[in-house]
Amino acid sequence: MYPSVIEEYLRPGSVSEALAAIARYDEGEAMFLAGGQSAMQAMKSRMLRPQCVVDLQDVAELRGIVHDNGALRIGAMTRYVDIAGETTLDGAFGALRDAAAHVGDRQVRNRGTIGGSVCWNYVASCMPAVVLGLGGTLELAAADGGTRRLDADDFFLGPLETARREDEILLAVSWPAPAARSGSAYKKWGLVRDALPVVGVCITVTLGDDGHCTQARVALSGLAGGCQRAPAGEELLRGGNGDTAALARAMDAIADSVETHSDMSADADYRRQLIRSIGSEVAATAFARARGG
Amino acid sequence: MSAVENSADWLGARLARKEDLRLVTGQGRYLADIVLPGMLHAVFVRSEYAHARITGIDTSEAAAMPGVVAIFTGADFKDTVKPMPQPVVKPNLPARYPTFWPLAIEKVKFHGEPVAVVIARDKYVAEDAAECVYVDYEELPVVRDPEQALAADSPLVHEEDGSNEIFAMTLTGGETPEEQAANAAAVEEIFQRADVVVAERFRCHRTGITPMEPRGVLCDWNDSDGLTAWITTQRPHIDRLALSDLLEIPAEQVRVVAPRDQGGGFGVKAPFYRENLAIAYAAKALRRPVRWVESRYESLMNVGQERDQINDLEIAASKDGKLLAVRNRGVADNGVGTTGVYWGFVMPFLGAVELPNAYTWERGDVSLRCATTNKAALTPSRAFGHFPTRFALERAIDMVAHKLDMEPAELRRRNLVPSLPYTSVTGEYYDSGDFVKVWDNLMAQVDLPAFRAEQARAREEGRYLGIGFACGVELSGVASELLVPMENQPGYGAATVRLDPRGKVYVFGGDAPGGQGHETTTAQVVASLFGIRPSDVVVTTGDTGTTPFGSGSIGARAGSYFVSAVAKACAELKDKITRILAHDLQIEASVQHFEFTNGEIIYLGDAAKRKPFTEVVERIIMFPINLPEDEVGGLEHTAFFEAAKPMICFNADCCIVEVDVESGNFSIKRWVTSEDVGTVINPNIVDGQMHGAIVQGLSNAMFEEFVYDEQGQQMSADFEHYKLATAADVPDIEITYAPTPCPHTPLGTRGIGEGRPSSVPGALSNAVCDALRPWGVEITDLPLRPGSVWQKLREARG
Repeated sequence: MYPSVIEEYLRPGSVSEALAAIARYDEGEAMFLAGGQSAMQAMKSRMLRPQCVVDLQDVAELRGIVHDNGALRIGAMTRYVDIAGETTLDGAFGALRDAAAHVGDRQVRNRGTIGGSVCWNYVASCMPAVVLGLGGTLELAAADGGTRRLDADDFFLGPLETARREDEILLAVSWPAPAARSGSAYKKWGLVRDALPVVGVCITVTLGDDGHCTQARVALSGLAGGCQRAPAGEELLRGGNGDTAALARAMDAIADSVETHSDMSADADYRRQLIRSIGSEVAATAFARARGG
Repeated sequence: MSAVENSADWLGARLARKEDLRLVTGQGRYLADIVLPGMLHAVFVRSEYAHARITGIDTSEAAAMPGVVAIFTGADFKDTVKPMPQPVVKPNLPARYPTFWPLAIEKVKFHGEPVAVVIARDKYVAEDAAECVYVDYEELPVVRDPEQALAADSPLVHEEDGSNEIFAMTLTGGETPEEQAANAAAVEEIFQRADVVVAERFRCHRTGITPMEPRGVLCDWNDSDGLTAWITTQRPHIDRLALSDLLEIPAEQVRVVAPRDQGGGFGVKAPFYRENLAIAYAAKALRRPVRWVESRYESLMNVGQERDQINDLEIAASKDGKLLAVRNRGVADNGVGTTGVYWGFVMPFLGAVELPNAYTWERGDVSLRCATTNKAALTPSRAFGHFPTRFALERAIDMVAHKLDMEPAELRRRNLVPSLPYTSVTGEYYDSGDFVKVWDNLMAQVDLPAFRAEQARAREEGRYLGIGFACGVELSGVASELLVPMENQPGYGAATVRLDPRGKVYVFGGDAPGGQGHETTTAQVVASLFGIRPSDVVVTTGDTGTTPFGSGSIGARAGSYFVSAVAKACAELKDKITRILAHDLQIEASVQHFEFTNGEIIYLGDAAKRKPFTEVVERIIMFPINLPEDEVGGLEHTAFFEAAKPMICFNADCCIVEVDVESGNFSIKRWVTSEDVGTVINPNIVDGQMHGAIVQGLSNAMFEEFVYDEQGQQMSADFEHYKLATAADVPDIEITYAPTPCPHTPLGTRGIGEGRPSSVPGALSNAVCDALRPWGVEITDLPLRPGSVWQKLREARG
């Protein structure tokens, strides 16, 4: 498993250098390398055959977790280990830590990045579903100096597909200050601990003064169609107070509404069951975090 | 490092392993670390189809690429290399042995079969060129299902054989068809009158072993010395003979070296592989060193696949809990079978032999059919062949207990072979040990009545706990009596022990270990016998140029045969040392009158008469004057050891689980074992063998599975899909010992660890079924996963 010929390897120190480097190549010839936890395998198996690799590991401005009056901005090159260890990511942002703490193994978490994961957008991965479930904004910059801000709903297009153009770099994922009484959570299931998700569920809820849910977002990972929202469940969660029976009804609705597939990890029926059992647990955690518990 | 005071206590000391420092500090030297000047790199072009006729191979574009030195295809071997099978890698079992060469000729028979090999200046160029070798295929119908493969109208994998039945055997009731028919009738008669009968179809999936280091080979040729081959192998001496025979190179011109450091074998590195032959041929043809290091993808496609069996098992029992007869019709999915020594069917053969386990059956009727299919050949994997049969039997025994409304543990204990030796209904000889003692020790660790009370309380709260048991009789080494028919190889162990003038000891063994700690255990044995320190002992394994013949690091041969040969050689040398020492001391004494301890040899009749071990050794090697009559100097001895009969070890497992009856998730709360491993040389190493074996058993049973789709495409050739347990996935394992020293080895040791995973799936699935007794769930298929438990519960609940 050796890659095909790579003519040039570049390691820029800034975003502008990185964009300039990628602009020198035609479409499909050069690629950014983030933490390399998926891309290196894809290159070794020759699924990817870049002529030029632009390695972003020296671009310091792409790293870091910044809180600003409640708003949150996570640089694209921020590693899982940094997110998992960031104790300020709780309450409304709790799902980020839930997910980052269990991606791959320790070695993967020491190199893999949030930006790499969302740009790769593999079906069996956690971060795309979490960014979608938390309603994040993707900040992109292009060589011509242009920048774009895309909602997660518009960014994730399908398995291994996003709205990012190849000449664009993902700068960060960001969120405005969350509404009071917001909570999020994420959990996945795989045959072995910390495996790629067979099913993963991310839920964000915001509660009103009376403890009833006013806003809800649900996103799923592990489905053949890629990370996706589950509107049927969001609707049922809204207005509810998070009691067990109501959560179960919401998860039943999700399980019944999404298309699940059978593969060697789980059959379609069991995937629905996993959505129910994991989803109920995740929703309960999200409600508890929203209540400040 | 050690609190050992008296050097006799090295035997049994919990020493840190001699090899660990280099291995954990990156100083190990594995095959891929060996680099020779001018070395070329090989990459195999492998079949994309499970079954297809090769209509053309175009290598012209690849051959023209800069850095490509040579490309070989099947046609290059057809007339220059002898085809398999050859006697040295062919068992003495009647079978339809397929004919094959290192590369596919005319047609490909599984997804991943080598079709061509590219030799280039580096691995990058070799892979670039391999992509440009264009093979035209005409697809053929794929033989996927072993039972359908045995039907008369099935397409054939090996057309010249006229049948997909590569091997079939009845293991019970005598040699002739008449005797076998009489036995079958007698068994049927028992079933007719039995109070309780359980008849069930058990399936075990395709799973096995994935050594951390995949396969590899480096071959070097020169006209004066011939061929030197470094191979990741458990049996360098067999590889040497096979390379010599197949390439028709005189035996004295072939040397095989298994690197001292190998990242695990577990059976995978025991066969003679066609890739090694291709690389040796290329090195000879090109007169350049050529190396091939297998990728993980290739490894998962080609090797480590075992267990794939269906067993239709029946048990007859009496109402008072006596097991009467066992009947089994096994069908193994042999895969293509083109693997030297094993051919796919040797594992299921032994699995059938080992089916009866530790129980006293009045009679048995056990037969097996093995079907070639368009899949990779079964390759040996620790718990060789009997992971599926033991799962089936141990599961079926619980089903008998359920019918009798008896504790499964009690049913087992009543039917354990009460005293040894014993010959099983399939003719397997159990030499020694005490099954009941091992069992009672296990039960002492697990308070069964207390568990049942806790289980009842938990059920009231909607929590479902379960307990499961299983046990296993395992081979301790493979005696010639079994190994000659099964693999056409001898069972004895061999060791050369050489002393140097500084009193240091060098041990040479022909078996090639893969990380089991032979350097440490062997050094402890030598140190205890000579009264020196393990650090004074150097162990060399795996080089056919320096070691005596050994059949390989297989079947738990180290603790049984190899260390026994070492002990025997040491005894011979001690005899000589004390003869000469007695002469020098002018006393009438022989070896039993001396103690070797703490670096000294002490005359027991007068402790003032003592000499440093090193001084006596130096005197014999360097100053051979004034010797007793008929003595000569020098201290080196090669000993061979073989017990009169085959030997065994024994273990029993208990597993406690909790099952979430909504999701089917289950978690293992306790795993407790009881082991008869004979005399323990190093408890660290024995514990490690048990931990590793149980983890492998659990990982096989719950996570790992080789999957082929309808077209015979392998879907699981990476670790995203072939799931291995991690440390976080397995329970704490409580190992306990109830040993009986083996009376047939010089030190009382037994070979351990090889078969040890086999009782794991039974204990695990019995525990899950016990938890789900309110619904009467009976698990019959592996793998056992939350999804399958959930499905079973859903069916049981209607």
